[in-house]
Amino acid sequence: AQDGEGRLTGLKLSGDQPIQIESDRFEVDETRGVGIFTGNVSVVQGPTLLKSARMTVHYDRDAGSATTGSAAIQRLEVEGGVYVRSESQVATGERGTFDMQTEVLTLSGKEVVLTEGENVVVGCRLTVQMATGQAKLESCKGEGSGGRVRMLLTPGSENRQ
Amino acid sequence: MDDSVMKGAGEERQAQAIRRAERGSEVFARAQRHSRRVRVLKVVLPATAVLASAVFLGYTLLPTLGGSVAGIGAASISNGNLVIEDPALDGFTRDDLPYSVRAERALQAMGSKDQTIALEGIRATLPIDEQERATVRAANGTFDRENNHLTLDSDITFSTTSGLVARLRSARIDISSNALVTEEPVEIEMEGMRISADALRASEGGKRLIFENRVRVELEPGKVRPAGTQKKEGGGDG
Repeated sequence: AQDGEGRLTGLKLSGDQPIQIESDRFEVDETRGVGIFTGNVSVVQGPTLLKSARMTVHYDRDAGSATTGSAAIQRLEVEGGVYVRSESQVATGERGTFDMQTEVLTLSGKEVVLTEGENVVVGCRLTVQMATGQAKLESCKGEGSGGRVRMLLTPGSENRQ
Repeated sequence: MDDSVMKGAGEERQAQAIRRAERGSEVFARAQRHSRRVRVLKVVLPATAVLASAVFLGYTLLPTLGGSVAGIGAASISNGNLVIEDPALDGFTRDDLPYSVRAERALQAMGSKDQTIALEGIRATLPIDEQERATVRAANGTFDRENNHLTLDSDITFSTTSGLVARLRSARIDISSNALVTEEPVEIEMEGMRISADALRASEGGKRLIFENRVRVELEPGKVRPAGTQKKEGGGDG
């Protein structure tokens, strides 16, 4: 099956800009080493915005507790529909994960949609190397779409594919 | 708790039992004549201090309540209240770390049925571990001995030597279940992270925190080290 490769210049997590997270509720459970944001979760860093219904932060318990600030975040899990927007790209999916160490964001679900301007690409799994913006959209193997990435290019849109 | 601590606690309890038996009854009699208010203070102040710290830092710090009374200023009776000036209490937690609790004043209505004690100018320093300490300040509060509730109804600040500062406008603390509730804005600031919300429920001595209503968390990525990188105080295999 043909996978869409491309560069997503927008979807980047810059190392220096502060991250702001907002939600209706935030629960910290020391013993399980998790922090769970629920209800209108929004994460903003510079131009990048992520919205979802629920985000779980897994942190390394041995490195101190979340409340002493020295905890090291291992990964984020996002559920309940994920919307990620950066300067010019928007990606949506059902679930998402972000591994702090490898800085890889994955969006998955029945229909992962990547939009830039009028160009729409649909697949089942989007993997973005957030440090470089390098992205890979994999098709839905063996499901309805015949294992191909569906790409809709709007004629007349300037960027050459 | 790993078993060495449990074994240690076991041996310690045995030692205490033997000491108590040897001291014999007249000492016990004298202890009984110890005035009620001292016993009250022995319960109230360490509980205030310990709970406030446990709540924020997620460490269960149940001191042996046998803290020694460091000193009591003038005790007086004024308009029907037993007033104790600068009650001070020093003691050691179960892990043998020192704590000290001061209040400017403790007042209890004389002879009244209700068991509440008013505390003014609460200031406590509490151990977190060998290196870190926390100081708790609250302008005033009342302790209801009947159901072990402590209500701190004025600004509370809580700061630790590790750089965490927490500010609350009020707090209701249930000492027996080691839980805290506040329906007023709370702010926690530490190196690289700031949490604010309009309500907080803390339980299990602060191991579980639930922030609600307009929750905001700000992170400095520089400070949020991905797991596995070298920790500040030298690598631990973790």
